[in-house]
Amino acid sequence: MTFFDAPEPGELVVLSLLAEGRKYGYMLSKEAAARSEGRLRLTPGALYPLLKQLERQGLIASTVEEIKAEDAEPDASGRKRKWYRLTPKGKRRLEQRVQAHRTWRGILDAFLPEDPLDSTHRSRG
Amino acid sequence: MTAPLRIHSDPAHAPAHTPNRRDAASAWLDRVTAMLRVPASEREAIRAELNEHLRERIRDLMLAGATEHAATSQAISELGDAAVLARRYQEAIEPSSRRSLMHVGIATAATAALVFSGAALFQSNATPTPGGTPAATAPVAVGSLADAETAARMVEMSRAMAQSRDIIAQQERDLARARGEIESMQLRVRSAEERAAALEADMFQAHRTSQIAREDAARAADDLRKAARERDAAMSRLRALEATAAATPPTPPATYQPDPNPAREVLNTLKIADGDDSETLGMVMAQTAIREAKVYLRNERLAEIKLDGSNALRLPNRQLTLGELVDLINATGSSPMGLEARQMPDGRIAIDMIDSWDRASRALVIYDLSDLAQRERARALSGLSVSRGGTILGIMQVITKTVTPDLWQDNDGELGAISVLDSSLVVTAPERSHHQIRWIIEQVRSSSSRVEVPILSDLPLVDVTPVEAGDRREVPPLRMRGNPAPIESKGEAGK
Repeated sequence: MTFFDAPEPGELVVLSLLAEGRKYGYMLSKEAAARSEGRLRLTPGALYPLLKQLERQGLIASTVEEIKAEDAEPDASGRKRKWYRLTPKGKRRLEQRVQAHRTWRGILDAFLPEDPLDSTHRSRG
Repeated sequence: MTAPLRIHSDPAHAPAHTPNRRDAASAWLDRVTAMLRVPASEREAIRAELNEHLRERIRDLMLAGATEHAATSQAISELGDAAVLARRYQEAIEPSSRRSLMHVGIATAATAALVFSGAALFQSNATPTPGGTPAATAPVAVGSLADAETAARMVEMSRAMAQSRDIIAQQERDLARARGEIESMQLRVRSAEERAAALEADMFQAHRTSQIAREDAARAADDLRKAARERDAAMSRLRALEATAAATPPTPPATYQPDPNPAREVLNTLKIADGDDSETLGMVMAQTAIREAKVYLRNERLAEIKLDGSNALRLPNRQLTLGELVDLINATGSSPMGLEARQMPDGRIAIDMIDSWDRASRALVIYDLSDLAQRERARALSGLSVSRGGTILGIMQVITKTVTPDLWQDNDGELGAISVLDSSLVVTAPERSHHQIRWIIEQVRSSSSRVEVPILSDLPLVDVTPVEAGDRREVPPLRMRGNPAPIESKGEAGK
């Protein structure tokens, strides 16, 4: 594994969130921010092209639902919301990504000092 | 293009805000979709998805308290640059290998078009025309197309080019038709979005109204619960009071019971007086053997004193005079607290802070020290050493250093001021300080009269005449004796 083989985080996050059930774009963006306490932001400029790419690769599939107000007329057209879900191929890719992520993390952990403060003091001493 | 964003915090104001917001969001979506090189259906799908994101984001921001305008601006800014987003979409839709193939195809087609154009030009030149001069061009053509196979390929390529032109014309017709269909669809979509916007505005207003109603209901419920708790607590207290009143027998009216310990009784009396808010704060007759003592609290600062068992008066069980009581009070803890009891001329005992006593007893006294000044002049005229700055100044320094030093203004005090005027000391100070100052001056006078100066055998006896013109007194010559030199003399000798 080279340094550039590290898993792409956006893809891992999106596939992981979709593994829990179907979601739409804004919902993915909000859940990513909420779970990371605001530290991870899936910006629209990155999220939607990524969804398009994953869809083209067959890792996720989408369906469009029409949302109508309760008091809307039967023949009135509503807003369109695009829901994404994980495909079987996407599930396999997610498993690979998770495995790669754990491997990568293990490799990095081998380089990190257990206690950075002590290490600094030793190096200074 | 379409403009499906319709969120209004207040529908009554919606018409004033909607156009700007719709224009901004629509303009941004227009820019993105115009830069996408994808089929029309996919372009519309992308637009709808981004539009949905914008709509929800704006609604969340407004629910969080942002104005409609600010929410729209922030939501659009979060989407980022339209060109960057369009490029990312394009990259996501077209894999790099496909783009490379497309670029190779374009380059190939361009090369082929160049070849076709050259061949067509050449063919038109080589074909005899009614008005042309084939005889003049033929040698060149024949000379250039010597190879028959090459000529045949050129003709084939020309034919292929004509077919390509037909295909392009057909595609242009299809494109025009598709554009017509798109415009028709856009009209329908716009109409539908207008209806959706109105419905969404109603929905948002209803949501806000219901939210406010829920908050009001929650507050009312809280108030109701709080009132119920307070009512229960009040009822409990009432029942407890009723039970206590029922169980407690009626108490006889309180009568004053003097403390058998006379010391405690005096202290109790002081405490009672302490609570009096009359102008004098109490004129109390102790209810004990000290029947003649009237304890008078001079000011409110006494209220800070905690009289308890630790500083209780220890009174003998006998009749006391006022003077003895004053001494007892001062000896049993008042002084450490900055208090002092004094016997007043009208037969009362007054207790007050020592500072207050000092302030009340301040007096200005002028001490005439001309006799000491005269002696000093005599010492100087006779060649003897004198203290630096003069005796009067020395006395002043002794007073400010030894008589309650914190008193003097020179030492940042408040109650004492001292200065030299000719041969007098002008002193403003409490009475007790004047006693000490008098004592010091008396001591200096008595010691000055016993000054003994050394006699040095190698010095002649001298007659001393007064230096100052106005002083006609004769100063007797001093005979020096062999006593040890005073400190001042040593200092002068050292110079």
